[in-house]
Amino acid sequence: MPEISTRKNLNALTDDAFRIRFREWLAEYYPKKWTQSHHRPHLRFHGEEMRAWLKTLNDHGWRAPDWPQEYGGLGLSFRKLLIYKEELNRINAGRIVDNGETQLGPTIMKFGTDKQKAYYLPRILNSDDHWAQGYSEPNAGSDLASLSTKADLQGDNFIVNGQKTWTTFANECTQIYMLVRTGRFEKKQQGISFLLIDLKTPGITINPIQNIAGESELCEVFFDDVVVPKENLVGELHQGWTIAKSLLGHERIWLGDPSMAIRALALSQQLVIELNKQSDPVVMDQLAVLTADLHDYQGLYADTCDRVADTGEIGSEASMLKVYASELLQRISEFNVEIAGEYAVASGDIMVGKTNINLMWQVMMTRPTTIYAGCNEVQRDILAAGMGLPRA
Amino acid sequence: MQEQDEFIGMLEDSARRFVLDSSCKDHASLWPAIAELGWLGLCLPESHGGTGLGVSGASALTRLFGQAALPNRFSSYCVIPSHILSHVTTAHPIIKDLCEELILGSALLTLAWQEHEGQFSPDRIDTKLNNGTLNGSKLFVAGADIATQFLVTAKQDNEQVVLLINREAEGVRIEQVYESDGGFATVHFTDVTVDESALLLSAENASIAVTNSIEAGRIAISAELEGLAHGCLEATLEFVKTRNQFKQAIGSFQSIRHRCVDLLIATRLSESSWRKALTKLPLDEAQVSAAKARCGETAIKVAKESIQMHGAMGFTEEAGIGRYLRAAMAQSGWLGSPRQHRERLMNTISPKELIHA
Repeated sequence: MPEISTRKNLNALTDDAFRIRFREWLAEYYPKKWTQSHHRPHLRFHGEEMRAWLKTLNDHGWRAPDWPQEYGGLGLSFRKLLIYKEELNRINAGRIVDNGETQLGPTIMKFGTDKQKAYYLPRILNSDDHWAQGYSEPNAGSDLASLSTKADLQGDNFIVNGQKTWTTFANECTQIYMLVRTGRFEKKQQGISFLLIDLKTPGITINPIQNIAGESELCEVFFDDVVVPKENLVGELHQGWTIAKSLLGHERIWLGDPSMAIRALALSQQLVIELNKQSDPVVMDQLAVLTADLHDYQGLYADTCDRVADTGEIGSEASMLKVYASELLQRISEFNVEIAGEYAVASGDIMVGKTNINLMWQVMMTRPTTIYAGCNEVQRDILAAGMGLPRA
Repeated sequence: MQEQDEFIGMLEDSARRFVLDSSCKDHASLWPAIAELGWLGLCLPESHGGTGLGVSGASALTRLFGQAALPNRFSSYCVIPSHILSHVTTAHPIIKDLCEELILGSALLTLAWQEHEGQFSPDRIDTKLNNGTLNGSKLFVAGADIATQFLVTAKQDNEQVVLLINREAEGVRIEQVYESDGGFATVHFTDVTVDESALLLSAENASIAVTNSIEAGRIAISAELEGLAHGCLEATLEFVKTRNQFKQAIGSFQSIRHRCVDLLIATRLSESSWRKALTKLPLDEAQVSAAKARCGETAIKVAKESIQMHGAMGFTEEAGIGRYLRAAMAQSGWLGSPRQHRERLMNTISPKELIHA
């Protein structure tokens, strides 16, 4: 049995030795049934499965690779973080949405009180709490700062009223961190606060929203006179916008991770074989374009990661990665439907040759990638500003 | 390696100044100036009197030439022939003089290898050397219009050779000099007498030298193409920031802003592709092809869209954007089109490599 990792010895390892250590551990402990396949190329972990897997990671000292050691993370170098990701991708591990680890944890570390740190961080690591992100509202999407869910401070409590939407996995989470309006000032970015709320609190209603891939990962969440203790405020009152903006450190790089596109192209290659298209020059040229695009993008992604590893700075480059990776992914998944011809009549599973495929699912699951985490139009605006182009 | 990177950094600095200040507008004025700077020895090893910075150093230069859309023949008269000559043993009776002349800029050597339209690999050769007599024809010979000598690939008893043939030699006929910055032409060799000393390379050594030199040329051209894209985009950004219509800079319109962003991304991908190819020596076919396809398409795309964003001005020769498109199309078409290079990429890269790059 592979040795249980301790944080100290992981960081002392060479990059190669670290890779081998994690690879061997995954070979022993990663549950094969949660592996991505041609049938489910972009598989995501859900509820109990995710909880179990995160707990396994924690029990064996592999949890929270990006967190500093003082908070119970592995405190890995950026280079080792990349290796950690690569090894998970190598075995086609399912995708994980763990806002507690990637978003809230780092926020509490930076803006939380000692009490908040001591209480919340271990609970995240141990999978006691699972956090949803309550940012978007029906009238606050790309223009997030115009949000209007209200939190009125009355005595020792905030009284929260309003609605959040597109809240991923709210139905499977135990808690939610939110941006709420606590005041009206000159600028809409002012008067927003960052609040932690237990989803079991009376007055909260969660409705799953069915998406075009046939799943219900997104929810709308209603707040009706929800009472939230004052100490659940993170950072200063009215300063939530600054907090939300400072999030997304390495996450901005991971949004450009080419692994989803890699998986989609693996499906393309399989389809070309199953459909006997290897001698179709049009199909093969299209496949060559996508292959070259992915190949070159992997180079750009690696360059950017190298730069981050060297300088620690992320910069607006990250927006470039997000835009290109998401659109490439969509182009590949569209190609998969296009070459499948009449197999596309099936909106569910269909056998193409010997491979069970769900063409619709794989294409629909790529649609939100250009919308979430700052839609690509907003990302392009950020990049244009970085190029010195004037705003209208 | 680090020392070499520093050299290349210094080279880039002086090249940037040179390109900015240069009043050279064509090959004829450019060549003596860059010979003076010692840049023609970049790709020759020290054993051959060069500085040994290889194709990495050359690409740093061609990129800057591209950025300024400076018509140049650095790839055809320096990068490719230097790579051929570097395979010739220093014991060869004429190599020392030849290298010296190349470095001084007095010899304009060019490789004559292609015999068919769309030919990608240099291995297929019908040009024959029999009993000291050369016969054959070469297509799209770069810089053939004013080259002083040709490095000609041929077969002698089924064995590949590389020969040095003087432009003035009897039986050399240059036809169809195309109107182009690159001076491309068809060159016929009819009963050309070849001295023993003109045999530079033979057998495996010859085929390796030719292959390496063409791959090196492809990368230097890729870097130049990315330079073209980069320079063209810079010029366009400058234009859209200052050109006012509807009482505002046209660069404030989202249709222009987002377009520029996409061109920036394409340019960054291009730069990353040729730089990645240079991290592996000898050059890897798949990486070279990825770069040549990417940089060629990007340079053309950026130039075309830049003409559009310049409006009617973009259609004028005066605006200078057309120079970028002309150069991009010529360089992209030479030594393998994007489509051909993508095909080679597909044939040489394993799916595994793609996944665990």
